[in-house]
Amino acid sequence: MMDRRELLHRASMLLGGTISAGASAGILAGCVATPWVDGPTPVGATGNFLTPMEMTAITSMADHIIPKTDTPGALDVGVPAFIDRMLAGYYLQRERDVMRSGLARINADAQALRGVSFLQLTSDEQVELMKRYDREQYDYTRANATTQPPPAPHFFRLVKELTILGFCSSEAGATKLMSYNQTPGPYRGDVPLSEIGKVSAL
Amino acid sequence: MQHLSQGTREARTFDAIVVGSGLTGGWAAKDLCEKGLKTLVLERGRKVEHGKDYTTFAKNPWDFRYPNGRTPQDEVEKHYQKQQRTGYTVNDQWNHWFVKDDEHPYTETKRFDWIRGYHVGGRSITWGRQSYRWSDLDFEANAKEGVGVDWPVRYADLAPWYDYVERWMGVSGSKEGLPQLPDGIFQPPMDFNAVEKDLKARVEGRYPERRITIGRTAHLTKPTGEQMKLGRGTCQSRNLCMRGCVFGAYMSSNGASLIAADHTDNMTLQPDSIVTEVIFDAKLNKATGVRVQDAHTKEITEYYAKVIFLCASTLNSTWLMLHSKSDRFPNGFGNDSDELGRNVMDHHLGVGAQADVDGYEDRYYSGRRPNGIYIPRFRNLGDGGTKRNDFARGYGYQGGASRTGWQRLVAEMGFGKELKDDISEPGPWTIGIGGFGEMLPYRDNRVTMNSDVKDIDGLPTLKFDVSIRQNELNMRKDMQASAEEMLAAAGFKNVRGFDRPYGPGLGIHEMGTARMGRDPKTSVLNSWAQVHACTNVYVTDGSFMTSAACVNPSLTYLAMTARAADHAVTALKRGEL
Repeated sequence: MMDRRELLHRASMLLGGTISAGASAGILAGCVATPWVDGPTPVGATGNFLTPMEMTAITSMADHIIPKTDTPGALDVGVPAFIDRMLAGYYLQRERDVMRSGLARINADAQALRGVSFLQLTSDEQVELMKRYDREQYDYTRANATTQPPPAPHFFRLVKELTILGFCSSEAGATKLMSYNQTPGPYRGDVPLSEIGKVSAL
Repeated sequence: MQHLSQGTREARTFDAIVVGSGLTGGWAAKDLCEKGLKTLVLERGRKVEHGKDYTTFAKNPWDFRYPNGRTPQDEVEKHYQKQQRTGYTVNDQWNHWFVKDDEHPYTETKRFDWIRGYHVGGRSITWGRQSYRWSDLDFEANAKEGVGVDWPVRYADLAPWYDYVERWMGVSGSKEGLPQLPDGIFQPPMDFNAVEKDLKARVEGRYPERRITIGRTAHLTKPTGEQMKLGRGTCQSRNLCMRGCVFGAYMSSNGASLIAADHTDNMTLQPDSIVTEVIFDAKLNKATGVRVQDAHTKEITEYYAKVIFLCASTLNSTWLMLHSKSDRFPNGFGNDSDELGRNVMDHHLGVGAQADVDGYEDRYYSGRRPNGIYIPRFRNLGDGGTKRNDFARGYGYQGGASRTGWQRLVAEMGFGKELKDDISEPGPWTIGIGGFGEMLPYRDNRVTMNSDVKDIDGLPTLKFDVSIRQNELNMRKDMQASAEEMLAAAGFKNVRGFDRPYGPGLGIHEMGTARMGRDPKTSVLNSWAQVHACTNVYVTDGSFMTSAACVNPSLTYLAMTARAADHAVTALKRGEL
């Protein structure tokens, strides 16, 4: 579980340690503004689509999705900054809009639940809300599996997918949690799993 | 006004000119050079050096700007709207091997997927490498069924050339003794995995006319001395082949044939050279050379030779011929029959079945096999038992079983420590097979020249009017049903058939637009792949195909190229060209 001080510290680290007084006040106060836009929104390969407050929410969720254990977690490999970069430079406006309104929604849900922002919920409360979103995204994605053209994703699907993608295609994710070998040598088709150990990252 | 500034006419005169440096152009260059001809190879795209220019070869997933080379969606929309239709071609790992659609546009009356690569080596860098021989079942089909025109060759004509090509480039595979899929000269086959072994045993037990073999693929599993001398080595099962292979473990022009051609000192390889016209001399009744537009300066230069090989890829050789008009050939070079640009064929695919596999949790594999399983054609083999009344010809399946990886977790519920633990575990096995179906030649499936749309080089482009018909649609139903039936017979769970939208060209096996035939009135090329009306021009890419069969075509292109090169050199020596 992450306390608010640690959260703030992490948010500050991933913003390059230059979190503004206004932003930290906003984080501590729960930043209830809707829509949740309090920062610059230029689009580019270096990221900077998500606002500082949105970043703290993403940070919190990524940490819950792939926590640090005896191996690195999502925050250790820079998943929040990765998500920001994907939104800014990889996706089109549709996914940016999904994420922005999704992040506004989690805050509104937290307000409705406890009268505080998502960041001010306890870790367990955050997880409870995320479980609800997980069920929602699962049902939504299944229900739309054959819809053409594919509809916009559910925001939590996007959060989860990007967290897993960012983590599993990071160096630490691929090499510490999986078996990574770019050049495995001649193929052997039927080998006991015990001989290989972990799943292949590629 | 032409500016023939590139040296003297003598310096621009060769024994042979090869247009295109892809799989067939590379091979033509090798054989013509090895047989002593001073050969100019003209490539419209940029220079690519084997190894050195495989810029993404060693990159890890985290070395790309986005994970594992994902290309940003705005770039896909801007440059690759058509190239991305395959679902796998557009990725920063290999985007540099594909054209940008905004630079090289074409027009579709109906959807046609034209996936191209303009650079030295062409699509030989990115091809699928599956290599199967035809049989007389294929060569005789048109004549027996009264479809299109008869092939002017039979299996016996090509068999020695199949031998030669397989031996030289290296094909890994397993001998099966099937009349519809003749065995070749194979390096050791790649392995089946545990699930595929059981699929094979169960399907072959249940359906005696069906066989499951390992894919026959142009990868080295036991290189010959000749191959090692070229710097080629054993496949390392990276399955990142489309990046280019510094081991030269699969057949490509860059990693094999062009190296061999270069070793003879007879080859001049000239990139950035767009051949816009075959120069025809009506008095001599010969082609005397080609006209080339510099890809950068647009300067026009003429090159001359005694013999010309068109290997620019099917639709680009056809474009070149359509674009080469003269008093003698007002409708395009060699087009007395009006068959040039017609009979466009591909292999229709994207139909088959998938299933989940219980068990085998303790089994895995080592490496990523750049190959799959193959189920050769089992319909309409000429006997009563395999005869279908709802369609002519047949199809084969390619596919395989594998264990799912971390990607499966995105679609599942749950997160936290449990999800994290699952990342390290191989997921359940899944299996899938997809059909490659024969498409018949239809005269009105055609490409025509379109002067209204110009490409980045200021040249006119192609317009496509191509579709599959009732025979293919009926075949697709059977392709799906038989796939479902086999996966169910093997005892796999949750069998799901699929039939995805298919646009001709999606197989990247476009062929047939300058077909061979016995009669100049109904075909463009003769039995040696020479233009009927101008025999010092050979066309040996997929243009020559009179029918499509259902197997991957490149091995047959190469066998025909080698046979044509031998014919050309012999004819030149006899003074016949």
